Amino acid sequence: MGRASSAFRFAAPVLLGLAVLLRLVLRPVLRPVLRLPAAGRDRAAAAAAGAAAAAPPDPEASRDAMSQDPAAASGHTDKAPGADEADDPLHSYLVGFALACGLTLASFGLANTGLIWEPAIPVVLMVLAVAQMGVHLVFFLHLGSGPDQTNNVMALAFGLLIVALVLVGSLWIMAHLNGTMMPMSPRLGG
Amino acid sequence: MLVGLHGLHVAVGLFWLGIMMLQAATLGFRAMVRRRLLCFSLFWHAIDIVWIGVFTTVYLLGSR
Repeated sequence: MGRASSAFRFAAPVLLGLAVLLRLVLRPVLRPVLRLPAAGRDRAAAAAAGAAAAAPPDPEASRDAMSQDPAAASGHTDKAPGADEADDPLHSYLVGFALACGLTLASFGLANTGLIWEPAIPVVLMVLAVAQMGVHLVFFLHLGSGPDQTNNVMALAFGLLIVALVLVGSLWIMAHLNGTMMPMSPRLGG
Repeated sequence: MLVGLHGLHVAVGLFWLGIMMLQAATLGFRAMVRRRLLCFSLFWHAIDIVWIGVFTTVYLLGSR
């Protein structure tokens, strides 16, 4: 097995996971671009936004533009993935289910076959796990990037921060326990 | 310990699922039942996310 092909075997699954993540992130951005009939209105809306940005800074107006739903402003209803319950609730769940199944099968397959470079497997597994967590959050828990989702996203970020503080802080303290103990003679120590 | 605690949560979730099925069958999808279903789905998908971490660390990374 040559060096180059080993590197490829390492890089391919990582790139695959990154592609899935990127697709999840970029999809709400790309959707209005790829949907051609809406492009004209999008361009008009973008031009209007550009004109607004070029205008002298007006804090009130820019705050309005920020808080306004861009879909409502441009007259069509594009939504983030997982948020299109009104259109077809089943479709979103099926897409999420397919993605989750694919990622799980990829994890188990890559862990149990010698398809990729051995030391890279933990990294690949963690990338796939994080990607699948993102899929679950977006498609099953309907966490989106829309303006009405800001509270949920901030709550999730705050929860992650607290859990990380508790875990890392505990590990940090426990790692230094021995050094912070009072000196103990062997006779006193049980 | 990790797997057992997760199994306990899944057992609680399955119990809850059974109760929700009974309620949906007997009471119908009135507002109260729909709110309970929403809470249940939050719980269920949250332990689903935990499951990703469990199978990755215990079954895939742990067996290496």
